[in-house]
Amino acid sequence: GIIATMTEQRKEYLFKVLVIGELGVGKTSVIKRYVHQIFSQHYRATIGVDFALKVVHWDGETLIRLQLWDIAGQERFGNMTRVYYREAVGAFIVFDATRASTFEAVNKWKNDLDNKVTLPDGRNIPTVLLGNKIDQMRGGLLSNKQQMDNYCDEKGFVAWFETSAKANINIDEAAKYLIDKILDNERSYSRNLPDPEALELNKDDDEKSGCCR
Amino acid sequence: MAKQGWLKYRQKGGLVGRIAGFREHRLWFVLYENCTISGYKDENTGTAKPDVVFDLRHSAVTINQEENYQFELISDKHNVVMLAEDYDDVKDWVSAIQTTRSIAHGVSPAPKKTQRKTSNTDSISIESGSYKMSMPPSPLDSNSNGHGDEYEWDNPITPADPSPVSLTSNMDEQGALFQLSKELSEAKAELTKCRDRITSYQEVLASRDQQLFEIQDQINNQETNEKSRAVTSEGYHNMEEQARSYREQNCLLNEEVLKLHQMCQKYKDQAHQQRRKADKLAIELRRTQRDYVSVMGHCVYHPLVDVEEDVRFMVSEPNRHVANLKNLSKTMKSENDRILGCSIPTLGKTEHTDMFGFIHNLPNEVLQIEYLCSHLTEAYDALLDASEENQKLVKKWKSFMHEHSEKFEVTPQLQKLILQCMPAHYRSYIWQKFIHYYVLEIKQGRGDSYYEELLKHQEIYKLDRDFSKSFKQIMMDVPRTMPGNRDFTTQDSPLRDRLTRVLTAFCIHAPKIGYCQGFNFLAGASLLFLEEVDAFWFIIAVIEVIFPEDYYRNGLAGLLADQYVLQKIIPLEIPKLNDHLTKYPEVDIAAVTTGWFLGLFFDCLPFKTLIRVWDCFLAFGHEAVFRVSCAILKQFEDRLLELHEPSHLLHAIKNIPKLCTHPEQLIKEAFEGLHHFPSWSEIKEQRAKLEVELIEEHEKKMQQRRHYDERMMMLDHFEDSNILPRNEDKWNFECATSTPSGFILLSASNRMTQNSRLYISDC
Repeated sequence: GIIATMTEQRKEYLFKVLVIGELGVGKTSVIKRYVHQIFSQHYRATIGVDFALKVVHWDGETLIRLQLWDIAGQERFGNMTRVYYREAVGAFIVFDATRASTFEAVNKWKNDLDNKVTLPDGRNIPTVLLGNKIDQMRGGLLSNKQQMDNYCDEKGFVAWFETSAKANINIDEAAKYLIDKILDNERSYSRNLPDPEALELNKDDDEKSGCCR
Repeated sequence: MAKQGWLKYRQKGGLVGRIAGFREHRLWFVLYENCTISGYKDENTGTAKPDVVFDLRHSAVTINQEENYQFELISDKHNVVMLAEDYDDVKDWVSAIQTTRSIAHGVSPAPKKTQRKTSNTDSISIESGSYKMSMPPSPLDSNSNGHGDEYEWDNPITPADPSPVSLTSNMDEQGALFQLSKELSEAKAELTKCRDRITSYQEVLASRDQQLFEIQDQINNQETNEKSRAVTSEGYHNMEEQARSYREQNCLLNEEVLKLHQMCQKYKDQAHQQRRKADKLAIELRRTQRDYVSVMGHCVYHPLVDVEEDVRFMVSEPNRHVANLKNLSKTMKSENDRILGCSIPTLGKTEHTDMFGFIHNLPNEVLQIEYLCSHLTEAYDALLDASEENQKLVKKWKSFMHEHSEKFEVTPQLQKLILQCMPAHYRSYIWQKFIHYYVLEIKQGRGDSYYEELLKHQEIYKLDRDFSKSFKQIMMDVPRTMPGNRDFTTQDSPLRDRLTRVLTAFCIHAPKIGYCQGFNFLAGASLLFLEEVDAFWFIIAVIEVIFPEDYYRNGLAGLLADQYVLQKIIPLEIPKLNDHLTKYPEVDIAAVTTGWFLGLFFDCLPFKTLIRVWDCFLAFGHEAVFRVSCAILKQFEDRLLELHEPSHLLHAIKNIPKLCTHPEQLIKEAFEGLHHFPSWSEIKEQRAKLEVELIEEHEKKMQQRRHYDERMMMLDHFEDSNILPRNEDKWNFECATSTPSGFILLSASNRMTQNSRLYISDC
C-alpha cells in the first residue's frame, strides 16, 4: 500500500484510502468534492468500485498520491470487498446524518473493515467517521458531540467529522486529518520495520485487545 | 394496367422469328404502367406467369400499313407484329402504348394532339395512318359535247326548172310541131325517168348518210371511251407512285426515329453515367469528409489516468482544422441537422443532448471538438448509409426478418449479421425478438399479464423484510441510474416510474435474487429501446437465462468466478500486458472488470458503443462479455505498457473503456481479432468449477456470520435479563455459546479488574 520513494529530501507516497458506507450516503460526492472541487446532484450509483486520484503537496518535502476507492454500498458486494480493501492504509466510513439507519450500519462496516484489512504491523487502519449531508440537518451533529466522541472511542475511529459535499464543509479537514494519521503510522512502521520481532509482539497485543473476532 | 385485350402476335426477324417462322399466337396482352406489355394464356392474369414480356420503354411502335389491323413493336431486342381485331383497336393500343411510354420516360402525357406534333423528339410515334385512296374528281367524268358533231342532211337537190322553147313554122310547122310535141313527150318521159332515178339516188344517198352518221357516232363514242380510259389509268398510276413514296418515307422515318431514339438513349445513358459519376464523387467526397472528421476526432489525445483534465488536440495547425470543422458542421446543420435524431453540436457550447437523451457536459474546446467529430462522423455515416454497400446489409436484415418473422432463432447467420451492422431503426424490434426467444420457457404457464399481476400485489410483498429492503434500495437507485438523461432527470420523468416498476416486479418474480445494484442500469438503458414489459423480460433474460443461475446470488459467486477466468484468458490473448501487470501485484484488475461484468459495461463504455456490445451480448451470450473485456484491454495494450506507476495503471484500466468511441472497431477486435481465445466450453467448465468453490466458501462465511449474529443476540438477552453486573466497568464479552440443553454460556472479562467470569442462563 505505501510506496515511498526517496529522492534526496523529497518523499513521495501512494496511499490507498477506502471510502465505505451504506447505499446513497454520498461517498461519490465526498470524493468528487475532494478531488475535483465540484458537486452535482446527478451522480450515478457506483457499480462495484470506482477510484479517484488526488495529488497532495503535503509540505515542501512530501508529495502524496491519494488513491480513493469509492466502494459500492450494497451488502451483496461484501464478498468482493476483501479484494477492494487489500493494501488500504486508511478509510473513511460515511453515513448520512439525516438517515439513522445509515448510522446504525456504521458498526457493521467498521467490523467488516477491521476483519478484512490491517496494517502490515497488524493494527487496524486509521478510520475517520464522516456524518455527511449535514447541510440538510438542522443543528448538525455537534449537539451530540460527547456521544459521538464516546462512540468513536469505543469503535476505534481516529476521529469524526460532520461534512457536506454539497456545501463543502469539512471535507478537506477530514482528509488532512486522515493523511496525518497515515503518515504517523507510516513513520512508525518504517521505524519498526528493521525489527520483525517487535512487529510480531505488536500484533499479539492488538489481537488481545480486540473483541468478538 | 393501362390496357388489356386479345392480340395475335408473331415474331418478325431475329433468331426467334426465323425459327418460329410466321407462327401466330393469340394471347391476352396486358399493358402495364411500367411500360411493359405481357402476354398471358388467358384473361386470368392474377398469378399466372406471362408467356411473353416486352419492354416498350425503348421500342418504336408503328402501324403496319401493308396489312390490315396490325402494329409493330420494334426495338433492339425484339421486333414483333401484333394483330388486333379492327383498326380502332389498333389505334387504341398504339395510343395507350405511347401514353404509358411517355409516363415511363417521365414525360407527362400531353393531350394527344400536341403529343403527335412533338412526336419527333422524345416519344416515337409514327402515324402512318390510313392511306385511304380517295380519288380526286376527274375532269373526264363530266359530260362533254365537244366531239359529237351534228350532221344536217338537207336535201340539196331541188327540181330543175323546164327550159323555155319557142314554136315559129306551121306545117312544117305542124309536122315540125308534131315532131316537136313528140320529142317533148319523149323528153318529158325521159325527165320523169331521170327524176325517178334522182329520187332513188337521193334515197340511197340518204341511207348511206344515215349509215355514215351511225358509224361516225360509233367512232365518236369509241374515241370518248378510249380517252377517258387513258385518263383514269394515269391517275391510278400516280396514286400508286404516291403510296410507294409514302411507304418509303415511312420506312425512312421509322429508321430515323429509331436512330433518333438510339441517339436519345445514348445521351440519356451518358447523362445517367455522368449523374452516377457525380453521385459517386459526392459519395467519395462524403467518405473523405467522414474520414477527415473521424481522423480529427482521433487526434484528440486523452491521458489515460486523468481522461478529461489534460485532454489535448494533437494536430499541427489546430486553428485551421477548427475552422474546417466549423464549416463542415455548418454545412451539415443546414443540410440535415436532425439526421441523427438530435441536433449537430456546436463548437463553443458546453452542453449538448445526444440522440438518446443523454446530456453531455463539454467544459473545454478539445472535448467539444472530439464530441463534434464523433457526431459528424456518425452523420456522414448516416448519409452514406443510403449508399449501396449499406443498402445491401439493410436488405439482408430485411430478408432475414421476413424469413424469421414466425420463428426467431439465434443462428450463425444472425450472429454474423449482428457483427456486420445493426440498423438503428431495427434495434428495438430485434432486441425484443431476442428477449422473447430467451425467456420463452420462463414465460410458459405465467400468463400473458404476468408482469401486471406481479405489480398488482407489490403492497403485500412490502411486508416481507427482504423485499422491503430491496425496494428501499431500488427507490434509492432509480434517481441515480441515468441522471444525465433527459428522460430520467426529473422526479416525474415517466421512465423513472417505469424503471421502479420493472425492478420491483423482478424482485417479486425472483425473491431469491432480489435487487442487485447493476440491475438498475440494465433495465434503465433497455427502457430507452423497449416497452416497459419487454424491459422486464430483458433483465430476466440477462439475469436468469444468459448468465448462469448463481451469477448474482451467493455473494456474487458467478461474477467472481468470471473474474478469475478472465485473468486466465488475459495471458493467452494479451501476454505482454499480462507480463507487465504481474510486475505490479497491487494492481488487481478484477477491481475494475467486476464492474464491466456486473452492469454489462454500462457506465464504462460510451453509450453508442454500449448498445452495439449489447447487440452482440444478445446474439453471443455470456461469452461476449469475456471477449469484449479482452478486446478493450487489447486495444489499449500499447498505451498501458507505457505506464509504470501502479496507481496510474489501475486508473488507466478503469478509464480505457470510456475511450472506446468506435464500436465497430471494438466488436471486430472482440469477435474476429482474438486468436488464442479458449473455446466457450472450456471457459464454461473452468468457471463452473470455480463457482462451486466460491459458493462453498461463501456459505461457510454466511454460517460464521449467522453464529456471530446469534451470539450478539444472546448478549442482548443477557443485558436485558440483568444477569450481568450493572457497574460502570466495561466488560468484554469473549465468547458465548448455547448448549443442547438450552443453556447459554457466556464468558466475560472485566477490562478494569482483568477478572473473567462465566455466566449461565437459560433461554
